[in-house]
Amino acid sequence: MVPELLSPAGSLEKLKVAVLYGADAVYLGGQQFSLRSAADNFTEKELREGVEFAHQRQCAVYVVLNAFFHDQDYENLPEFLTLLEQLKVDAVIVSDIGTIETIKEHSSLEIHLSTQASCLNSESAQFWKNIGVNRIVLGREVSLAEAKEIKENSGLEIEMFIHGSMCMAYSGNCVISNYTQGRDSNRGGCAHSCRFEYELEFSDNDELRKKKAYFMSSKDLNGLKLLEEYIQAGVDSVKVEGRMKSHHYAGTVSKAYKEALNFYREKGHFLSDQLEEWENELSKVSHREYSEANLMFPAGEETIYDERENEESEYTIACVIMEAPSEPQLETGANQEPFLLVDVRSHFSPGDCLELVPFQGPVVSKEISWIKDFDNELVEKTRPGTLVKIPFFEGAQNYNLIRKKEVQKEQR
Amino acid sequence: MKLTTYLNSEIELETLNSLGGEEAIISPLLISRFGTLELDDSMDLAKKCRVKGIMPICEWDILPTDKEFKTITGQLPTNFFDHFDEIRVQDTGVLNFLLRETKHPIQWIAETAHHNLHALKAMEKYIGKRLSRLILSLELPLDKIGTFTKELQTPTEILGLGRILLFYTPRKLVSPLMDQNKKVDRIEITANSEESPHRGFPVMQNAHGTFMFNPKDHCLLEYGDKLLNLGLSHLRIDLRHDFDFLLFSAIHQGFSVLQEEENGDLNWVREVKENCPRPLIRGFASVNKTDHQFIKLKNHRIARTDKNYVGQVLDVKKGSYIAIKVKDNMDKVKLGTSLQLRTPEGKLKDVKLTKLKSSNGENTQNVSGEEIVFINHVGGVSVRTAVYLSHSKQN
Repeated sequence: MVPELLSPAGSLEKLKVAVLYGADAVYLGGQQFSLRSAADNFTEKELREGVEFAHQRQCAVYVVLNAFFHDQDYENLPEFLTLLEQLKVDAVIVSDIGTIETIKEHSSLEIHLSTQASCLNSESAQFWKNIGVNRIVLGREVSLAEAKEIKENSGLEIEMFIHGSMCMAYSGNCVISNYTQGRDSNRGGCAHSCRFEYELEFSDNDELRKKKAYFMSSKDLNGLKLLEEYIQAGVDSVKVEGRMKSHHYAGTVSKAYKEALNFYREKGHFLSDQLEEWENELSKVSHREYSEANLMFPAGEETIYDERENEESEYTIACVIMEAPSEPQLETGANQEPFLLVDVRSHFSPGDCLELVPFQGPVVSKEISWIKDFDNELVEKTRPGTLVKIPFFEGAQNYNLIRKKEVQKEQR
Repeated sequence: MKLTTYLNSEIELETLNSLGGEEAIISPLLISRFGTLELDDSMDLAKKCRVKGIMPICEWDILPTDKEFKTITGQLPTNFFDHFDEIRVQDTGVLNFLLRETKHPIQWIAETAHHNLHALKAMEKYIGKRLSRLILSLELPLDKIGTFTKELQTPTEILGLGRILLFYTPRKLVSPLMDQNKKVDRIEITANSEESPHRGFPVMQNAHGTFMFNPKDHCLLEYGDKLLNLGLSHLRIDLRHDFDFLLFSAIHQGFSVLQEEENGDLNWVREVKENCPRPLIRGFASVNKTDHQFIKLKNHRIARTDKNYVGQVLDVKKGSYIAIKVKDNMDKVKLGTSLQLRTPEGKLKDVKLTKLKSSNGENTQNVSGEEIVFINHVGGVSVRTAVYLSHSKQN
């Protein structure tokens, strides 16, 4: 069985991007109860619209309620559960046993156990099954071989991370932010202290030695090359981390994995030249160095990212298409050069080669000859946070991403 | 309320016995995060505890994967748990295993998660009569603990003095930075970061992974009387990292006096605090406000509140136009409509629509659906400004 591709949706717009680029399911948070307090998250209206948009495209929606609840956090939960049930969300993702009890009491929503609960073994899966959990998002410390065993032993659906940032600590077992920043990391306030550089003091034979290192920072996970092992293990859902990440990330990662999964669905293997292409695509989004973490072997020294955080990437998002002309508009507007109305995310200029990333199929490259604002005045260099018109790209649709190679900056 | 502590050796057992201690936690190296005792030594110490009338509690607090589970169960002698009276666990898998494979009372460590009343009651329901103790979280203020102890059926415990564990990973993070030829079972170093207001984090690597602790230890001792009245069954004193049983003796004696004499003297606490190896904090004993900053993580001035919400400003050209992505109330947006614009800085601007154009540049009377429209410019508005119908009372 080919697993479901589960992508992050940090906002309504990112949900649309993830769905259109191939996610089979998305996960998102409301204004309360999840672990990303700084993400835009969804208001009630946005939730309604997001669920409708996803369901119309056969994409499931899971709502994250995985904070470690304190008593006062339960106050609005029953009301929110009623709303989620009305909206027909497909499941809720939960980490706290008290929350599970409340969900069972107030709804018949399907329950997925969050990775935050650090379910690491078959016995634990059995415990949660007895409590009424339908699916387990396994802890990141579990290997694919162990995942297979857990699925076979518990009979539960299994979800595993396949891509994105990694907590170095056992999920739910880090409270650095609570004590150093006054922000509860298990209720959405993680300050990413594990990504800091630390000066370490070693005492060797009474001699003090100091060394600076990013010793608690983990490389990012990339399980693309192990997709077949995920399938062999019977993993039901492969999850992409990153509700706080960009549209570029949500779209590109969803597309690469969806194409790979579709290839397998059709051919029954991954022996494809396209593997390199999918890998290249994953290297184009902002990321730390990749590793396979614990998927095959226990994560060792090679999985520590001992470098300053670096948001540089080979490609950067240039703009997102807000309005592309429809086929009839293209036909009737023959006397006027067709254009795309795009929301600028980074600087670009006439003469730059941009790449349209369609929802399916290969990218379309084009050197753009002009850029205009809404008043049709020519623009020499775009500014992020503006709308501009650029020449039409063949096959362009609303919410398509357009990217540019970063090296163009240096060449100029 | 009784004191409980960890036991590492026979000498400590003698001291505990002389103090009249009633129980001791024994941490086998194989299954306990900070355990130092081999399995035989653990069983031996447990046996000797029983001889002295001290209840031996086995601590199994590591979080094992299936592979580790098999290693552990393969190494544990079949009669291992027979030497102990109770077992304390954190992992739900270990709990499930012990509920099936033993008849022991279970002490559930709820320090890291499930630390609200709903969750604790759920654990009472699922573990049932076998649940002998709930070990409560350091994140709970004392008043909350007092409420919990009244509501729960199960005896409760909290850390009274000891290290605060901030971070736990199975990965070995320190040894890669050391001389490759040097092999040590337990490494302890100190970490400082320019990006943190705190300095001197103790970091330990052992067989189970890497642990970071708070630079200051947790101490509730000066709450003396209040602790006695909270309804806790046990207060845990954890000095095992410093192997300081003398300090435990002083605390034990101090508490004994306090329990005997109403409004007893707390001078002994000052002395104990002076002898503690690291600075001390009370943590969240008074209040836990770790969710109060969340409101600052986002700009709530531009957060979408659904009633009267129209959309968001995507572009502004001075003297010419404001581009709005209309998301809601589109049927009410027409030429002549008054809109209220709420900027990210919190400024309110009113604008009456005298110009309304679609993205293809054509004038339009109204908005047909979710689309981008261009309206007449008004000063002081920037991108990400939230747009509402002007009769809304947004604050």
